[in-house]
Amino acid sequence: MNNKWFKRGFKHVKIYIEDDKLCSVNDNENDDIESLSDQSLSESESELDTRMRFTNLLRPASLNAFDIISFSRDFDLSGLFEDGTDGARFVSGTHVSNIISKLEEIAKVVSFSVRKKDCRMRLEGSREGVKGPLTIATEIFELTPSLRVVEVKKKGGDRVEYEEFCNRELKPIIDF
Amino acid sequence: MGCFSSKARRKFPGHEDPVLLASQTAFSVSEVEALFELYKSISASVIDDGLINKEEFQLALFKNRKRENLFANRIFYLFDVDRKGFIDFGDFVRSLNVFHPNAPQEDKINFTFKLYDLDGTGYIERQEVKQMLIALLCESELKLTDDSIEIILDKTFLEADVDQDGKINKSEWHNFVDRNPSLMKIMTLPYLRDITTTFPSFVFHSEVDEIAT
Repeated sequence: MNNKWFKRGFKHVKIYIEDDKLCSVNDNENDDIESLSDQSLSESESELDTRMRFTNLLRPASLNAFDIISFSRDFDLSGLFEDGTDGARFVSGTHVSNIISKLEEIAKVVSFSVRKKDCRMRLEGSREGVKGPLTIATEIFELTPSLRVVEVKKKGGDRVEYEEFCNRELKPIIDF
Repeated sequence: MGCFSSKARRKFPGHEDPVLLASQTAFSVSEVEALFELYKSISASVIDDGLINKEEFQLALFKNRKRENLFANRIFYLFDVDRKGFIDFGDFVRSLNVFHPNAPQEDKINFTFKLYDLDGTGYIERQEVKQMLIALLCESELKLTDDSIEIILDKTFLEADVDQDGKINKSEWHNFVDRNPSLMKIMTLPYLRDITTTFPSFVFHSEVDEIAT
């Protein structure tokens, strides 16, 4: 959605339910569903898809120095209130499409379902633990013209299982 | 309703009237009291003196008090409003208030400007940004070459440093944040909107109720 023509009046929305609350995929800022414009809510999924096909799908958001600095766990005061789900980040020199294929491969190996939109993916396991199935969100950003950053976050499920997943499945292929 | 137990005041030199704090911030009285519960446990974790020192702050944030680093220092420095060397309850509540979802955007932007202006010159210099980038890279799994770091700095300053004087002044910072609102993500803790119900681990203990009985 980098094309200005498509940006006017358009708010890219994908809705799903998490933690008994309606969320949008752009939910990093924890927007409530009420903050979305009426226009976007009336747009159907297929219309969204059609629009997306006309734009360059795999243009990741570009990171500047302050974005990177704010990755620091030390800036995340949520540690005062909860255990904090760590995000792991990896740098990759390959194309976005390559990274996405690798992640899909991993998901296949462990039989996780994949939901993806642009540079974001959501991998969900089927094995129910006490805290629900392991759910992992990934997002790809552009760091420099030749480098991408892949951010991996646990969105649900057991912490130990998440760490095992990262160590066993992700780290071995991290060099992408 | 405006008074509180003098026992609390004696043990916690930094304690302030919850009603007063509530009137100065986006928190309700019961939320301030919930914050007091949190404050009590943090301030007692290393030295039980009713005040939060740097070690206790780091411990609360990262569960690891040995982790002395640039960012932890900056946040502590800004929370310690009068440079006393410790954070009292008033500091705690007023500083956390800036992170409240309802706090003015202006306050959040000003906070980040002070945060990143490491030497307090009133400008965010390229060298400071580089220092913070490197500090971040040290603590994370991200590995970048010197060249990549320079490219990222170039890109950032090209956009942010409008008058190209090698540093970002306050108004340039405001404009930059307007164009990149995701930079303010770290300045809002949605948890703060509903502390009293979000943290069941608190034993919610209303001083007001205590006095009534």
